[in-house]
Amino acid sequence: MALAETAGRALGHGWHETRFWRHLALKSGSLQPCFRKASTTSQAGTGATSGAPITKEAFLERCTLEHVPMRGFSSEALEATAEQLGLSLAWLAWVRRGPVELVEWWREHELRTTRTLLIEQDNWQLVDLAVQTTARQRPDQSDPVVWTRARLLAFMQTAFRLREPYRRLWPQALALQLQPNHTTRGLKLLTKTADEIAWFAGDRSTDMAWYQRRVAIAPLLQMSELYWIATLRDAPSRDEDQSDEMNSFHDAETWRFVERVLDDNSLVMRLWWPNRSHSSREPSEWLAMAQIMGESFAAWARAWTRGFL
Amino acid sequence: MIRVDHAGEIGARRIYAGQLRVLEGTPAATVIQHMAEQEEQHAAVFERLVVQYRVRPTALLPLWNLAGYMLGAGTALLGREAAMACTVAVEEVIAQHYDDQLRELIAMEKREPTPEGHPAAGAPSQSPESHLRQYIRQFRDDELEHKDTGLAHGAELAPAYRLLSLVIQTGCRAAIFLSERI
Repeated sequence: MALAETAGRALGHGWHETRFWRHLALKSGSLQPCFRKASTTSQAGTGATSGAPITKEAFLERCTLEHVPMRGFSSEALEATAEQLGLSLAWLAWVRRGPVELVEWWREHELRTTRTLLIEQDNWQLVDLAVQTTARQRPDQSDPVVWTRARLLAFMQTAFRLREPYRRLWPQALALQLQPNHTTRGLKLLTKTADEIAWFAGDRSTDMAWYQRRVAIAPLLQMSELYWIATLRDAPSRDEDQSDEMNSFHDAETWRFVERVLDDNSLVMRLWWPNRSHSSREPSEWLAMAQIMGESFAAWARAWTRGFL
Repeated sequence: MIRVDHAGEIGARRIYAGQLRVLEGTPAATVIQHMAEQEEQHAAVFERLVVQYRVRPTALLPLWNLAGYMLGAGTALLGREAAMACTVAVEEVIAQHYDDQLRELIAMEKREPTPEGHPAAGAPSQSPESHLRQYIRQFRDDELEHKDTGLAHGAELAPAYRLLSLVIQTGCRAAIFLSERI
């Protein structure tokens, strides 16, 4: 900007104020866009120890991990985080769409963590033992249907169990994502998750089967989520084995539900392997699927009326 | 990029299949067979790349399958020269498209040179862009060779050569445009 100003003064016009010079200064980096400047000022104000301005990612992370469990996915959580970091409440305008960004951050974080745990670190602690033994084998060592089902279950179990601390708040999170403004992003995340799960479960197709398989997984994910919220119990049910530590998650019903949906002859499995011959019972298949969806919605509605939301 | 190339090679395979179906047994069939085999190789490479880079295949694949076959069979029905003209037109568009992609890949590589040991690279010292570039360069040369073969076998003698060529080229460009997005 100094050069521009000197030139301007020399030329005797307001050249340094014309769009041309400002554009040039912006390109050369001497003129910073406003928000970047302001954020460094605020960081100086808080005396943040890291020395780097806090990114939006880090803000959302801290909020979701520390404040949401107490205050829910709400603006109270956002305000508490701002207070903790010493930022003024005006900074909440940064989180433009409000608490739904916390939900979205969490979903992406969950996907990344599940991927890291299962693929990079080979850490299967969150998966049921029976499922683990099948899923950890190589694809050619067991029946492909059984192996795929095990892999799908393993991924879903890890993801859902990571989410466990938020189970009581999840209806609120879903309600936020279902608002019309936010549904498109939610759908994008859903398709991204379905893509990851399909890849993990061994999908390497390069034709229409690619789409069929992801279309099969996405509703499965949605329904299981609803079932998972709806089967939250305050006290463990009688038929659960107390000694098994996995049951501290209280989600055995959800996995029974998923296994039922992934039953050998179900629509989901038939979409996954379009070329396998099954006895075709087309209309009743769709009815069974509709019945399962109806069941999960009914369970969710019951939970809603019981006052979870 | 890989998505549209994958779709293109599969479409080309179907065009030759259509042409062979109609022109079976004629002397032109050997020439087309040879070109079809090269396209098979190209298609196989792209299938591998689609899996390696986890690319979403184009949703219009069934459409291109059908359209390619119809185009091949249709031009072959108009005669041997028309089939050659179809080949020339398609190969011309594809060669231009590959050239554009090569330029884009070079630009991408200049902007952000990939660090060594990138997980998607073929060899440790190769970036994915240069890896892809090698394939595309080779395929472009193959396609130009097909175009020359087509011209040598009398493509320009086809009925309404200019019109046929124009229509086919426009169709190919539209297909490329769509497959890049859908």
